[in-house]
Amino acid sequence: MSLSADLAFRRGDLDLRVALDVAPGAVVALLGPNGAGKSTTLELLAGILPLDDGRVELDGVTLDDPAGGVHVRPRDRRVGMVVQDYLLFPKMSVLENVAFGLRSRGLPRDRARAEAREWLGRMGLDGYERRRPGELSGGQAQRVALARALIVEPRLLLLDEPLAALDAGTRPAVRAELRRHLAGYAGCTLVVTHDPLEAMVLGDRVVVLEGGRVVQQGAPAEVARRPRTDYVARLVGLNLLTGTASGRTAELPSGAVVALAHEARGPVHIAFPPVAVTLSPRRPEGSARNAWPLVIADLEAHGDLVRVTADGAVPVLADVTPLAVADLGLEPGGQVWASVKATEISVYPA
Amino acid sequence: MSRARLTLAVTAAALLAVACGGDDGGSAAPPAGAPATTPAGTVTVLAAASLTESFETLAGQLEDEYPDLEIVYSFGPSSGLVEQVLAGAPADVLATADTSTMDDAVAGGVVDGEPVIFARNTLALAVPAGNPDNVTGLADLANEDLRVAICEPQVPCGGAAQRLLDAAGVTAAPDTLTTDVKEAASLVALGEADAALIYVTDAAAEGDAVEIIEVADAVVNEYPVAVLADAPNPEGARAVVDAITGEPGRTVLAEAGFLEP
Amino acid sequence: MSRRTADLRVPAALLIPAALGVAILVLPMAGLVARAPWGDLPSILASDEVLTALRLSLVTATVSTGVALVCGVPVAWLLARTALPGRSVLRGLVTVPLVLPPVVGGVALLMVFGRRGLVGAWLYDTFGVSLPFTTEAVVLAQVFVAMPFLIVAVEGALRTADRRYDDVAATLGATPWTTFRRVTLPAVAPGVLAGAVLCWARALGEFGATVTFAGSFPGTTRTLPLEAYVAINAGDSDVAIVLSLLMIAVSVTILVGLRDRWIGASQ
Repeated sequence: MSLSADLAFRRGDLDLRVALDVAPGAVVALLGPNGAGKSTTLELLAGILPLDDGRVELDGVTLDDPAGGVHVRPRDRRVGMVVQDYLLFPKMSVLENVAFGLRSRGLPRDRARAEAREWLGRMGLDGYERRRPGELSGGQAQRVALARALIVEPRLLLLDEPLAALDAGTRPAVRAELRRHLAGYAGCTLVVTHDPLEAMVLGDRVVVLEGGRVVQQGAPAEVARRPRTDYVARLVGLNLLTGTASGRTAELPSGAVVALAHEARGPVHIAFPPVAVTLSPRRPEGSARNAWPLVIADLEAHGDLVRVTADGAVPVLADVTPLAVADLGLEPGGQVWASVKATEISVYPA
Repeated sequence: MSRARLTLAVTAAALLAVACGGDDGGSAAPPAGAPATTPAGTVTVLAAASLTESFETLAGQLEDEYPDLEIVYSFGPSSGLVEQVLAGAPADVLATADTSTMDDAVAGGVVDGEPVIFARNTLALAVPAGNPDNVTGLADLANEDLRVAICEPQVPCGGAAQRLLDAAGVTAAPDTLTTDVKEAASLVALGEADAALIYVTDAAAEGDAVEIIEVADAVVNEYPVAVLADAPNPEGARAVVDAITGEPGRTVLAEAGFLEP
Repeated sequence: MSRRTADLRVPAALLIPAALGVAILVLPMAGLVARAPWGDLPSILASDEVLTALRLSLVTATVSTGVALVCGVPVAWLLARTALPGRSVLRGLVTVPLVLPPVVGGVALLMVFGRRGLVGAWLYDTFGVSLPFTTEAVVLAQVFVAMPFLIVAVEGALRTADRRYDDVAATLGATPWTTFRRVTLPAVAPGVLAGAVLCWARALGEFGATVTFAGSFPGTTRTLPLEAYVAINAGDSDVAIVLSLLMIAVSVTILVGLRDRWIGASQ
């Protein structure tokens, strides 16, 4: 079972052009800021919205081909969906919710309920059959929604922000559990999220969507190590610069020059973590060849450290200890020198 | 109809379907013996529904004669009009379709002086044009298959109908009891009722849409008119009553099929 | 969240017209109570005419509400959930009876369903069916006047209901009919109930269209409001007052009872 989709859709401000391929049994995390077109992508794949152009093929079956006049209705697609607020039918019991898909496909009530009971057991929800959705915790509701979607054996499972409705305390446990359930599911899965950690943990592959376009995709570690856009860099907590390399140096659009540890040529991305940045009141001496005079724009608590936003020819984020902030007398508007060792910098083609 | 009319909501149902005829008012002679003072102002007249066409014509003549006079009518079932007067409706003149309803008003002390009988009316068996169901007489009203409209027994035309049917020994099988004779007339004119017992005058007012089947011993109703005790415009009211009971009224009412008192 | 204590300083510019408004609404009903012939009340209520009219009113209003539910809920669904061309025109048309004088509705019904009407003539010639002066005509008149209340209430409920539930049901394989029956309808049930109650109350009070189209005959077409009208025109104001009180009592009981028990509980 595999998904191959080439989506073109324009509505209002959104101009979506996305090509997606999901291997059998794989989980692809669709990561992007609000308004990037993530949920629209899911609605296109579910058949709720019609494609303007392109093609959707699932498991060898063409679901959408506007040019060829093909549009399979949502109820015939075998595409399951779990959304952020789960949308459990509020007037039905938990058992009826899970059995709904089988009943809709014409299965007798008793058989549908027996199978639903089995799925609830698999989800660790024995004894919850008669509850109403309003009586469940967020994590329980998510498992019911998952069981409701999986019971009809969809070939493609779409999860739209499946953890966003949970409070921070329960999220890690539910996330781990969701990962376990997805591992046991044979079909393709697409998880939409704006949380990089969720994308990294749940996804075998991460696809980053910005402004209706795929801006980066790859294995989670690859995306985390080598961000290609400011949005991804911010998500994964790296400084990202773009410049043109010639040998051991790269020139930024501002004219500033960055020293590199290895040879590189042509347009490059330059990434380094904020903890690798050292701040000092005067031009530092020693091995660090990259040093730039900057103006502090902002100070913000960041875990145990303080994140310093500094502007200048080379804008950087730096993580320093509260002690260093006090010692250096850092405050917005103040002058400071930022330095990074060339060995801390990773360079890759843009 | 350009004249302002006080159309009470309760009578709207009955009046709506009524064809408004007899508003030409040109042929009759000016009223003789006009009063010494010229009547003016607004005169509100509550009148039985069966008087609609005749009184509209009469008002046209009177208003032509006295430019400062304005006559406002409220037509409806006589018993309902008496209820309104007893409840304090501000009106000048009351004209009912029988003496028993007027007696109620007199007993209630709302009438100034003695009511005067100004016309008589007889009932007619009315059928739609062409008499599609071949109605021949009162006995047909007992036919369950025939759709019969009769006035509600408590209103004058209904009381008259009941007396007529009793005298003829017929137990009618009505399909609807209207509170207003005009409503029954309209139903026949529209062809929704196969037969109705209505006043000769109302049948005549419907023109060609209605045919009249002769009925022997048709009961006679007497129409009294009176000035009301609390009339806001007693002078105008007296002028209107004089016109109704005098020559102008006689002429117009006779044209409409009323009998002289 | 703690409730704010009510501020009792109401500006006179609001208080005086508000008091007047309440008086206009409440005084007539209080007047009926004051003028009621309490001594004769039991005998009037137990009279054949009143009981016949009451039974006819309850039966016709209930049947009318049933017809309005069967036909009106689908109309509301069409208006709220489909991209039907000319939908706003359709909405305007089906809600016209809300503002139309009922008498006009009665005349219109007579012109269409009367024995010589557009549809009525065909019905009569083909099946020998004639609607005016029948209990069916009463129901038709009541549906004409009262169904828009139901349509408006249900359409509002459908608009505020979350359509994504329908999408989820579709992905689970449900047909639109299954989705409507098992998902949409339960979700808007309070709105449907509210609409049905309004519709029933309006049907119970229907007068103008009924008297014009269905006529007035005891046991067949003479409902409570018609009986009250006949009574006042026959000079029998005591009966009219008792009938009016009866209708007020029935309406108030139903409205208050339903609001507290069902509509209020589910909000």
